Amino acid sequence: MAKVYISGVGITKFGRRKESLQTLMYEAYAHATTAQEPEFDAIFVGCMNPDEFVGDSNFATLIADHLGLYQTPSVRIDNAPASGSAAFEQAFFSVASGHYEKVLVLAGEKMSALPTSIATRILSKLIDKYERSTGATMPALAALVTRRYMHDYGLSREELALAAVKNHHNGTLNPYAQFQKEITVEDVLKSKMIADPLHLYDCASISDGACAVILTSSKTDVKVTGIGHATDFLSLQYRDSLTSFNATKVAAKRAYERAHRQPKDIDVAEVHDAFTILEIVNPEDLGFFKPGEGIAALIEGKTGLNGEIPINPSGGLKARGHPVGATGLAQICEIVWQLRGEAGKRQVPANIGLCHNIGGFVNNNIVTILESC
Amino acid sequence: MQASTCTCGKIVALNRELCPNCGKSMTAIELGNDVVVLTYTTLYTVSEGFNAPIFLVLVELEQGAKLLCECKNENDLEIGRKGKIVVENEKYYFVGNMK
Repeated sequence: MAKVYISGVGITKFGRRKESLQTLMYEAYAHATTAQEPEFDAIFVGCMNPDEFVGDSNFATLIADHLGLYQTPSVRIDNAPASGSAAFEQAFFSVASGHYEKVLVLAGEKMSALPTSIATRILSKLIDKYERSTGATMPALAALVTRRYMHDYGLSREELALAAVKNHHNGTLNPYAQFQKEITVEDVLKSKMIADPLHLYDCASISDGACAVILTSSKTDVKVTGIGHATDFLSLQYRDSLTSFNATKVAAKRAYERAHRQPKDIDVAEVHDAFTILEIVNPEDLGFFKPGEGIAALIEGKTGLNGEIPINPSGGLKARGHPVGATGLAQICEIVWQLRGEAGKRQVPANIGLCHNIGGFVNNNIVTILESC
Repeated sequence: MQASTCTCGKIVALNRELCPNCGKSMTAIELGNDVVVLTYTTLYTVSEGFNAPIFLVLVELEQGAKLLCECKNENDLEIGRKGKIVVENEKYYFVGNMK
């Protein structure tokens, strides 16, 4: 198997953007590439639902055409909100197999053009048909998990808000983040109630944005050392645990084994905090903390920029924004910057980084480990 | 209450052909409708086509099967609350027992 390295990475500012999705992808592509860039062997486009969000299908061809990459093979990967990391994973396989030597990964979504109720309906299709017939939305399922976690581990509503406060702080240091302002616990608790006990500021935003990453078999300073991927039952009601997610545990185990690493080896992680409860549960499922200890880790600053394992230095989905298809690749970009010492004011000391991207309601998860070399 | 079991030990609410755990054919069974609330939420921001608020509960049936359904009465939203599942217009609802 060929070794796989990352060369250029690029990202757009996330938020409510006026430009088309292909224009955003071009912007990310322009950041990731140089004028001397040779041709790519293939393009992998991570995008969850351009058909419904922007009214375009055949999107892989549209992107190859828009970028002027005439005749280049191009394929779109839809893997729910794990489309970005799934496109990265498929691109990795294509280089690791020796079939290709240099490929372009693009990922993005444009969600803000539609009213929130329609965007909510589109996102609710990620949920099992019976469960969504009850009216369940993604925040509703997250609220069910949150309520049970609070009950089982004694998490208070104020403590949960600290996850949003922390990630908004990190977002103030990230020029690409949708939200670059500090918030307080009180701001979270007085924001609109979405699904009790989750308020608006507990939920990642509807956002637009795109990312680009170049994978190559030629040695660079960042190597992809392990990718793990796992699914779980589509229905929440089929699962044994409501406070831990098996798809994260299994994906992480596979990634750690392939990278020959353990949780204690990880210096920095970007995890999928689509809802504040996930900022606590994900680090537990990734093996950084024992079940229930994610609360103390958050309160004591262990997951802050100066903590023992900084989580979401970018601001995470909460502050960077969550254009669903883009998120997994945005996490890769952040970890590459952290490993290269290019993360500016949010830089942490790091040689080994981990990305954790969730598809669906925590049932199609991908964990990627990147290392300096 | 309709449910499905598998020789692998998986049991799920409602009818289902293949086991989500092992892929074998499942057997349809009937469970009693006494249930207990595992967790709940009141949903205020709903999808297009639904009316807020929606009271949702995830309940545990016999043998550990779980069901997500609506709850008729806000006062029944409590972890550990015992009650029954009733069916109206082909939809399942949780109703708490008399206290």
